[in-house]
Amino acid sequence: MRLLIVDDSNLIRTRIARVVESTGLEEIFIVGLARDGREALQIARETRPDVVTMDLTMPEMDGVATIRELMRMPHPPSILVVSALNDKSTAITALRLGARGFLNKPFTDDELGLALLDVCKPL
Amino acid sequence: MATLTEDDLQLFVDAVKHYLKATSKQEPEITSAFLGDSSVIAHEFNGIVSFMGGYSGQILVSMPEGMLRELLVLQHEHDLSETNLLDAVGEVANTLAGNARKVFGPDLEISVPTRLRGAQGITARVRPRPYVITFRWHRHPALVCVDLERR
Amino acid sequence: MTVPAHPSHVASPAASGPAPHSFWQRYRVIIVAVTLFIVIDLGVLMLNFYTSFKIAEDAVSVNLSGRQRMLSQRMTKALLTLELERRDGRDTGPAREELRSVVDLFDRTLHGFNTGATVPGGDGNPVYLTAVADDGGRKVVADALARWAPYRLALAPVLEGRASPSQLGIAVAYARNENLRMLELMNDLTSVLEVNATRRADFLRMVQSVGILLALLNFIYILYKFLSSLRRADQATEAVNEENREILDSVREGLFLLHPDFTLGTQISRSVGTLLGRAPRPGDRLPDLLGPLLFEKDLKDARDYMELLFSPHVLENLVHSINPLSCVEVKTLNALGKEERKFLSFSFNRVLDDGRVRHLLVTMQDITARVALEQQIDAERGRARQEFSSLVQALGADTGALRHFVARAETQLLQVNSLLRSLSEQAGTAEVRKTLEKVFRLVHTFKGEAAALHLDLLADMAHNFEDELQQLHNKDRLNGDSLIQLPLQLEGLLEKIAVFKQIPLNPGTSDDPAQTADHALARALQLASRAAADLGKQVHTRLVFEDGALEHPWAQDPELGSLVIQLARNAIAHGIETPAERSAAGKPEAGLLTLTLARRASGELEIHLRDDGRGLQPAAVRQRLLDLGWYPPAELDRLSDLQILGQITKPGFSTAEPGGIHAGRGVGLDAVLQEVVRLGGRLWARSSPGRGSTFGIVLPGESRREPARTPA
Repeated sequence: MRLLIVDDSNLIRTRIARVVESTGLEEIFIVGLARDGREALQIARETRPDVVTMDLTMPEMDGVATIRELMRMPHPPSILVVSALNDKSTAITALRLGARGFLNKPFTDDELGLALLDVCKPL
Repeated sequence: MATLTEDDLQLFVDAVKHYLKATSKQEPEITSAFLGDSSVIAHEFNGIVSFMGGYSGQILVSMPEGMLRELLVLQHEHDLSETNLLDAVGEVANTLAGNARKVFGPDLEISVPTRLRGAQGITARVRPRPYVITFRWHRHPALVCVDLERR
Repeated sequence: MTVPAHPSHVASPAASGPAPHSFWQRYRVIIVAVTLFIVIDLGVLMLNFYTSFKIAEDAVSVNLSGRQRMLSQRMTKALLTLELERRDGRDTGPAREELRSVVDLFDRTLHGFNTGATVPGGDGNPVYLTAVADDGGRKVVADALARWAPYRLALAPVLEGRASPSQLGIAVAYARNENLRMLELMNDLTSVLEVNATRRADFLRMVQSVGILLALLNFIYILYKFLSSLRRADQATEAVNEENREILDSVREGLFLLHPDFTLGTQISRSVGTLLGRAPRPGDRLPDLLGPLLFEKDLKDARDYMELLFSPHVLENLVHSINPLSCVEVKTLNALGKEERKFLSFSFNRVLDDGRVRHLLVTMQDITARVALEQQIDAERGRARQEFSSLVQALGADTGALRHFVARAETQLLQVNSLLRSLSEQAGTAEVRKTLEKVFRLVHTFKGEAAALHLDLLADMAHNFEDELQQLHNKDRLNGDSLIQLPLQLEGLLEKIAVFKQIPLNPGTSDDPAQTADHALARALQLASRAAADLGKQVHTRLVFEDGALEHPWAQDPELGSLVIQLARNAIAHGIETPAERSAAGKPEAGLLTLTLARRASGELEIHLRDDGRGLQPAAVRQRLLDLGWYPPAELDRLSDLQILGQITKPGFSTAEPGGIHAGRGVGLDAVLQEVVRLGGRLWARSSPGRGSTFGIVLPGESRREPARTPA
């Protein structure tokens, strides 16, 4: 499983990466880190990730727009939205566009690990 | 410190009011409510009940001799000895304690009233400044001092 | 009950039908009965077939035995004809042919009766004639055969056509003798056969009746078995339904299933009605039910969210956190028809069948108590935070001012207590009211100072205290009971002050007189600006120290700050107009407050607070006095404008709406006057309609502070 991490916070990016590497999620490996939607799309086109963790509020291109673009790719990835919940409507929109799950920030390592395992399951 | 609410105080006040109204058909009038200290001198006859459990501390009912005499006469009691006057004020304190139990629940431990003769300054037990509520009944002053703390 | 953590548990109405072997056990009786039914029917049918066949055989026999009688007659007639032909010398051929065929037929038939044979039937086609089995019949047949044998022998020459006349005579004689006898025998045979046939037909009828009877009994048995097992099954179903109903009637949670078109399933718990304020029916659409209770946006979110749960791509356990209905406030009507506000929580769990989301299990709970508790905890947390921030602010504030405030605040509050205590010695309502006014002024001053130091919590508490006092004061008749709450309010403030007293406030840090004065007055004006914003007004402030003022003993006294606050608040609440009013009057939108301190040659300190607002308006003051009813209208008319304006420092006067923490409440000037007098100074005012007012305070040469009052 190829994982792309999208978040404008460096803290969150490294946190997710650390959880993936340290909690025995052996079948997942990170193919890219992106700071915003534009970067995410660029990396996604090059690396064709299977799974994406996606922040919703980001500069340049926000999460909802990015998800819309990602879902248009030939093999759209499985998307886990990882975001602070300040607006449920936005989260619902993200899921309607094709994201598969929502993880509320702040999260524990275990919550993240379990959520990643869930989104790695085939449809 | 857990403060008492207005309702809590009202409960004690109502108990005294009710007692006096029941025996004399005339309600006492509340004349003031303030925070007491040792400079507040109580009246000659005093009944004290102590509380343990959900609330701890004590309540003092203090009345002057004239008031108690009048109360006894109204109850057709002719023996106006000191013992009987003390009993009367103890009875008021007891009624008040019973009301408290009805409202605060049965797990409240309430002592039998202690009866004290002699005007003294108020001694705070659990609160830095206990609540003092003064009454007037048939021109006699009286006071209730609530020194209780909710656990 | 708990909502299933893993919805897959809910989602398993998997095929739990009967195991194969139990099929036989359950339906054994019926299968046996049905088999028996078929066997009986088949048996009856076969017997029927057989007997019918026998009856057909009997019919042939009866027929043919009848024909034998006819043949016997024909035989006699043919023989006599032949004899006549011969006598007349005519050709005897046709008669002989007739005789031969009749004899042959008779002979074959008779032998057929004896041994069974195929013989020509009535229509010439061959039929099988069974041998007569019945004893009586056989005797008749044997008798007939015995008579027929010589008769046949006598006929033989005639048939060969070589019979002598005597031989013919013999044959004719036989015919004459035997014909009748043969007729009788054949008659007997017919009778016997007919009896047989009748017996068989009777038997057939009996068999059929019995068969039908058995089949009927069997059928009734099957019906009985079938119906009773059907009834048992129905009873079991009914029991399950009954249990379901009991559960749904008694469970406190609202439970129902939701179809993909958002309609409700048939099983709906009773609580749903209570929670929603109206009982829904199966088939109602959930959005329609929720529509009147929710905001449009929440409703849309809810619909979208439910759709998500029906979409297979979404992972159920990763969307619970975005459930928009996890806590919604609704207004419903309770059983008494009264409006009731409550908090509901809806949770949605998928019900899977064969991997597909068939329904959502919706669980509704009333979480009002939980929310109330959370809110209480939040409020307490907020209070704690506010308290903490008060402390932080206090620590950040200049410690000199704070130290003064804390020291004085306690004295003030104890003074309040003394006043409350003195109420018991006061007889008249007027006297009581006056004391309450004094209490109010003290609390008001306390509030102003706390606000100046940004001790918002204390200011808020004092504001509430003021509210209570005001309500008491406004009552026509003072009710003793309403006094009870006052010590509680007072105690709250005292407790907070006690906390402040524990903070070490180093008196050395900011004792620089210039700075203290600067700070205290700057803060006073800062507070004024905040008050303006709350009232929708804009204010700029200026602070001017004229020569020597900064060194004046009063200038370093925090009490001056509290006076300035009162004056500034008064100016903003009553003097400064709103930006719109100011624009209309050709003034800049923001008002200007100028605070000037000057030292007089006499050593007194003069403080001016000037605003560029509307000025004091005698007409408005008159109207206010009229509204307050302090004077009869006629007397008001007699007072000069100056006398009218003199009323504004009277307790209880205010021309601004009562309300916010910054509003004057009409005791602003009153409190200032009291304080100024206490400090040994005086207060004056100057006003120019439309251009502004100036309030001046003149304080004596030395900072002559009264010793802190102790309660009597």
